[in-house]
Amino acid sequence: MSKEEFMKNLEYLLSDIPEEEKKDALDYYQDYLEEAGDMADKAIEEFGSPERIAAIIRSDIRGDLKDGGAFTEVGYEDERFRDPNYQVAKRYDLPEVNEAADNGKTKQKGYESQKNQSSGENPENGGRNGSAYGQQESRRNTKDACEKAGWEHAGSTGAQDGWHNQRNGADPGSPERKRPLGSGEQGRLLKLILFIVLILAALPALLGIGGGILGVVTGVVCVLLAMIVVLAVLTFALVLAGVALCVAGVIAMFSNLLNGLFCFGAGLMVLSFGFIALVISTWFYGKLIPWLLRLCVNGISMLVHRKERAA
Amino acid sequence: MVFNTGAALLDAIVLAVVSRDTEGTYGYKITQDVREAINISESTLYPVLRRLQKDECLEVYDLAFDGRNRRYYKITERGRVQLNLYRGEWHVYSGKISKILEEAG
Repeated sequence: MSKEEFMKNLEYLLSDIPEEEKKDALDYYQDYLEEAGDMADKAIEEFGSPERIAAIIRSDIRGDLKDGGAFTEVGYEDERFRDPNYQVAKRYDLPEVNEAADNGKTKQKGYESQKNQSSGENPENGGRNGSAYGQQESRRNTKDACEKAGWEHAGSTGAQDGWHNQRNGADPGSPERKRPLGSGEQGRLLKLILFIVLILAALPALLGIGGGILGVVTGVVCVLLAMIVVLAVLTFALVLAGVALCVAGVIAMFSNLLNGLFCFGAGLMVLSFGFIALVISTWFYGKLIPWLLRLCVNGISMLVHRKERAA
Repeated sequence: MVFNTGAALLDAIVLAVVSRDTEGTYGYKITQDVREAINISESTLYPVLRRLQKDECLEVYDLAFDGRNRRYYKITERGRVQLNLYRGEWHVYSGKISKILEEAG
């Protein structure tokens, strides 16, 4: 690669970084190659590729360049940028938007990446990737796998749909993104919304049926309430009337024994009716009402419970 | 310990190399000088020089040379302070390591 070619490629690869950074870098490397003079070819060879240089510059701008370098007994080296051909890390380094926008470029890189992937049996290559990229590796591997899937597609359907397929291919490659519906917080929310929509949709029908049921229920409740009041009043009235008649009969006996006795007898009779009513109301208030209340409470609690379980 | 990452030691080496030329020196020469001491790739130093320049440890100026501009790097006062710090740290650190290694006999 000639000096001019190298600089042209580097300029292209850095076209999306800030102008000042770009100019500074290009000036430096232009300068460097000028100074190298006859050694320029050797220097370019050692630079590796414009992609590698661009990746180092980007990494520096991002601020993670410092994290990678290490001294060894043979010198200083950044494992991430060791490969002079620099194809794998390059993939990781370029912003995704750029890849997507630049179709032709992506195609080539994708192909290269695929080649890298398939030549993974190369032990030197594989070993280095494993140690050098650390935690980034898994992410990149996923990405590479997606790409591979995408580009295998592209091979059969033509390059034009290239990155469409790549995007499609990316979905099955990242299972954590594809959560089963209805699990977790989002699923619960979705269910709730669907439930509300269902209720709103069924509201007219519910109002028709519900109105009828509501009428019947209201009627029953009213009868019960009336019975509660009437029974109490009736019992009270009968007992009171019975006692009053008895007392009146005893008093009447002094003036007219027969009348008095009749009155007393009637009083006793009314009083017995009152006692019967008292027994009935004891049963009514003590047994039937609590039983009905329990029934209602149980029914409501069951309804609520089921709702909770459903939600 | 400031030398737990390679970056600090590399900064120290570059500062030391640049400080030898009071008038300043340029990228290619710095790289070749550093390469006399340790093995680095030709592409290693650009980010280092840029970082040191941003940290105001180095200052740059352009000088016409051979019909074009040559960018010179010169150490600043702040750079000297930083270099002295590195030297002190290195003295202590390398002294300890040397002691242990030599005692191992």
